[in-house]
Amino acid sequence: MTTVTTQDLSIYGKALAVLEDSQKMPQEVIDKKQAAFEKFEQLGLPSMKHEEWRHTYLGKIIRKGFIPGFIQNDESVLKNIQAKLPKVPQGKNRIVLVDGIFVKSLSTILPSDQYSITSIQESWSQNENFAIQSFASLTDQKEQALAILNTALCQDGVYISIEKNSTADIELYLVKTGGIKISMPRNLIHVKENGQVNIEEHHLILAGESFSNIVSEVILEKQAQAEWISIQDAGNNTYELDHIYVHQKEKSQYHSTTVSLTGALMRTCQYVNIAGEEAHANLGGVYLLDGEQQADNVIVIEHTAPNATSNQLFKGILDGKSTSVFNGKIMVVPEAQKTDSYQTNKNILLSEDASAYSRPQLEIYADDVKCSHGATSSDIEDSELFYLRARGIGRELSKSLLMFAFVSDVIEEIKDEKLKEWVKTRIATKLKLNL
Amino acid sequence: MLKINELRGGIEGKEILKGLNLEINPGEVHAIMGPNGTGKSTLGNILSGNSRYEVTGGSITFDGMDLLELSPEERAQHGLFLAFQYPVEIPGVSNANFLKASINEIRKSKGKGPISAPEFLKLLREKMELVEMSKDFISRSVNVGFSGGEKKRNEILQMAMLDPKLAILDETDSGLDIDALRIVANGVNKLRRPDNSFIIITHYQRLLQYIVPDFVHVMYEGRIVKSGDKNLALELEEKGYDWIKEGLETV
Repeated sequence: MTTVTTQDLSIYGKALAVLEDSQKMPQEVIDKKQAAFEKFEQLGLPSMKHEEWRHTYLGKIIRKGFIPGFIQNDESVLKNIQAKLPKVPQGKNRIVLVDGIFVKSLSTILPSDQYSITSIQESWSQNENFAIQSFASLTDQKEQALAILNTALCQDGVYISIEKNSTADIELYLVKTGGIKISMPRNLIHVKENGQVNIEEHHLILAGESFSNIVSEVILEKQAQAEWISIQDAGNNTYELDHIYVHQKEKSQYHSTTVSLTGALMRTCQYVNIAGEEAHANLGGVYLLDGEQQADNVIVIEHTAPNATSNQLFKGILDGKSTSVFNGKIMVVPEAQKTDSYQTNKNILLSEDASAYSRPQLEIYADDVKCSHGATSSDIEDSELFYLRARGIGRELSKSLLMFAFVSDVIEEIKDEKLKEWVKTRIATKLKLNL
Repeated sequence: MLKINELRGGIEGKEILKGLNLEINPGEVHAIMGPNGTGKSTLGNILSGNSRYEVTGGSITFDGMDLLELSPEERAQHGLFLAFQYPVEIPGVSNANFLKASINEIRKSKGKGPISAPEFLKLLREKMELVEMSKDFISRSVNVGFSGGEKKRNEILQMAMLDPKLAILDETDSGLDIDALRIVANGVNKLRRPDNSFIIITHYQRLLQYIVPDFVHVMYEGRIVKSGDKNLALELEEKGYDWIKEGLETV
């Protein structure tokens, strides 16, 4: 038996060499990948020594045998996926990434001159300037080893570009075939002035276990808007690291809701730089966990321009031996006066074996700002429970209703009414509620 | 219908009820009055099964059952209702869903299937009219953003929907303006029947001008110290509670 040491990084280097041999990429992209790999080698894989990884054991996942590698999708597997995807709703685009590879035959891109949706690899090979230049422009300034690893090893993903004053509604399906190779989709989203993108992210696994290390870079020009709803519900054999990097210019709005329902690890990291005046970021999250599920939300909001606002509201209900991690950081640079920034994390613990780790942080270097943060862990309020029981509603159903109520303010923030109802129904089902 | 015998109990180790006796027959409306801190709300909470309150002695029989053996939901399912002094807000749960859950749980306890949607809506509309609730109420979250008066009217609406055998109104009149008071009283009066009963817990005589009680009891230091008809309420209003206290001290 061989022991896999998770700090042996040579397999990642070999994977990069294979990628360079197998795929035609512009020199600028290759240079960025090589620089990223060098940085990754310096940083190494994160371990418990890193504050953000204290309660999340990456080594345990990697030791399951997940390895980097060049991905080629099998035609018969793709057919199998087609049967598992629901019908595309009217007026919506659908992007299907299978183990990180953009699959045209499974995707539905409505013809439009208001936006373009293409494989990022294809955009690179066609020398699409913005796709090349902006690649890794947000990620690699940070010290996030896994996002940097994605820069080095990503093979494909989607490049979305929304024209001025235009809108696109998009379903993003991340399908995992269940192989041992780590999928590393790479997405770039560019919303031009006063444009809007609405993204619904879904995950699907065909068989076995999967490990994904997803990175998306989102650039919002003046007055642009992005609404991103991520539904993590692909079953308990999935390990997902989802990184979203956002750069906001003036009066832009970034609004995300992360709903974590099933998965062995559902880790969402959002790094938002609010670099324009009067821009606003609103990040919400709900996690309903049981068994040995884990959901992490790592948030860094950097206020680098004055008169901007941000709000974070994350709520979780934990049963069994489940774990949640909330690491939320608000940074305000000296120039970012008149910043309003709020952060709340609330958890209900239903079991003594469940753990909710909450670590809100404020780093404020400007004096005229309003910032607050708060975290609570509690049980269901006795007075509320009694009110329902006094109306004849049994204890279990009363608890479910109250848990539904507890997370509802996060869900209410979803603007798409149909999607909001769908999410509500899915949450109700998980809480054994029939609304 | 209800028989309370030498009831003792309280909260957080403090005995508040000190041997309370009360008997209520079908069709009767009983008012319980008394100064603050004499145990009026404790009685309401103990009757409805709030586990924060403990019972240390005595017995309560409701419809031939030992009430103290029943969970709060079982009490409600058997037809006991408490209109809360401080109704709880439940964001994210609509009034319609809450009432439907409540009605269906009570029906289930009687071996009946869930109420049909048209039947439920018909009933809800009828009862909403009774307490003059506007239409948007159906989809609003339970008590969220309700004014004090709306919350109390919502309690009466819930009562009307569940049609209890015994309803306890715990200071439903507190904080109500004259219009809301009239609506609440009107709701109660329309629900009065020979086979159901009410306990009206109140501090003031005001509500009793609208809901005329058959009996008025005065509570003091955890016991009922004086009982009479509706005229006792008027006498209390005129003379104040000190009159009762003085009477007790001279005895």
